[in-house]
Amino acid sequence: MTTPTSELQDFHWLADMVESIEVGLVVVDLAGQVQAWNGFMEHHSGFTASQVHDRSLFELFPDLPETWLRRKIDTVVTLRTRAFTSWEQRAWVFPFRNPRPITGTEPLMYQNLTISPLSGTDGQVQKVCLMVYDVTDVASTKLALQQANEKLAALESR
Amino acid sequence: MYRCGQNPFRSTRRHGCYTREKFRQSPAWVGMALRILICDDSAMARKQMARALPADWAMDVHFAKHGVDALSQLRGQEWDLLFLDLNMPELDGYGVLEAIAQEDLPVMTVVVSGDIQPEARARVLKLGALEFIRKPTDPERIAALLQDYGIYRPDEDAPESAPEIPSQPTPESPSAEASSTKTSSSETTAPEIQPNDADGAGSVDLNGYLQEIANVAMGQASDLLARLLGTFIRQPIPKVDRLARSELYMAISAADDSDTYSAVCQGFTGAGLAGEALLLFSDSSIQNMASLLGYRDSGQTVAIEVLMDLSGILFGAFLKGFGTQLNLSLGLGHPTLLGQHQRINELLEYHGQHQEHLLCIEIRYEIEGHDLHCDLLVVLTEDSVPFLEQSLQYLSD
Repeated sequence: MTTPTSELQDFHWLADMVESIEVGLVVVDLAGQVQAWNGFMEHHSGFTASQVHDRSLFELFPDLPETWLRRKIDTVVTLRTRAFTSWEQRAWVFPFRNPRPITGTEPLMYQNLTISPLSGTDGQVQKVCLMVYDVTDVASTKLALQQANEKLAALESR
Repeated sequence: MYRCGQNPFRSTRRHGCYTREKFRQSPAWVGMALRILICDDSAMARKQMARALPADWAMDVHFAKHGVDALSQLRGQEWDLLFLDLNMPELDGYGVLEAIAQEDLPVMTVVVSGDIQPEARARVLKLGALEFIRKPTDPERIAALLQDYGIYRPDEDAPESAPEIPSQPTPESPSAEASSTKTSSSETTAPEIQPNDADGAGSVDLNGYLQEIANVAMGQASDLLARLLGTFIRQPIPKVDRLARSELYMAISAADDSDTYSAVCQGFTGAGLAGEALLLFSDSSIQNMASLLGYRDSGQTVAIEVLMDLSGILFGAFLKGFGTQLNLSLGLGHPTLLGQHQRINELLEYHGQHQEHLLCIEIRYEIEGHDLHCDLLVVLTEDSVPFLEQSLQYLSD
């Protein structure tokens, strides 16, 4: 159906899409070494894809909650299911700056994380993909609303 | 090479031909220096222009800071070549070209501008400019142009430091590296431009550096805006300020206290640099813009359409040009509606805790004949300053 050239072209725009999507995409092998790192991750971390390739995610980011993240990854690999974390349980996984550094109110980027198993041609899970969602806007709004409600409640109880 | 009667730009202009003929038999070929005037309001642009000139060329380079300055120098002495910026205070490049034509001043003018609208090029050629070159100036482009007009021939005896591409057997356009290898036999020395040379191109500080980068980036954004609106856009001059976070509203210099504004913002980030671009419209302007863009109905959503459409175009083009010049890939977030129908100080009020000094670039677009203006604000964080200073340092070395 597809000729080799069109397959190559398909790959080209697919790679372009992965590069430019406003979601962080990281592929790590089971040892935690980075295999893929898209544009979002490059821009926000300051590390280029070639700088991080084959390096341990936990060495690159000493602040990462290693035990917590390793446990999540292990579950994903063993159960072959996706795992989700919300900014409400852990405000951020990667220490990135607020994507709106001027008008934003919080110093750091709030993140939701999805961990997804990636299987090889043999059907075995060999890698996992981390998808990092920027939810700073939602989180800031919700936090501001909470604060306003607390103030209102305090006023009422006077 | 053109013969007088064949020159499409200058066929009606007597002194143009005279000047070029003068060059052919110019004493420059026997070792006398050409007198060159570089006119630009930006010290960085003056310096870049001077550096873009072939280093093995015998020349005497002088500088003017704006149109009035250039004209007074042109009137006083004989000049061979003028490199002229368009977008300047006091008197802009168009005004200088008009005066040169009116007073029949014998100089060949090459316009060097960040304004890339086709209309800008057409206008200056009509006003008598020999050629139009895009900023940032590219040494190879300049050398090729000067050769086309027979003003410059690369020094064939000069040793070549850069390997030539086989398809170009003759060193027609020496690369920057090749042309910087000067032969000691040159009769006059190329200008030595020091980073803080008060008599030369002038010193470049961080604000001046940012202003010129913004100027070139803006040229690319304005071109898109002009195409979208189908009008010619007079280039504004970017203003660079350092402001405390709590004073950001002061960046909009012409803000009217009684007016209400709507704004969109978009964050951007790269290695070593972060900030936000903002587009602000007064509510009266936004309705005019909506009708100019062909949105028929009025109301809430139309205003948002206008903001999102324009910010997408202006931010994208500006930040691309900005990043390219800094050799930096910038990631853009999703644009966010900052607020609507608010006073400027409310809109830009800071609710966070962190105090810092921001670098702020203000670009005020006025669309003539439509009673409409908008402000493009590009704000950089304080911790972007070391990166910018370093890249300025590279430029000065």
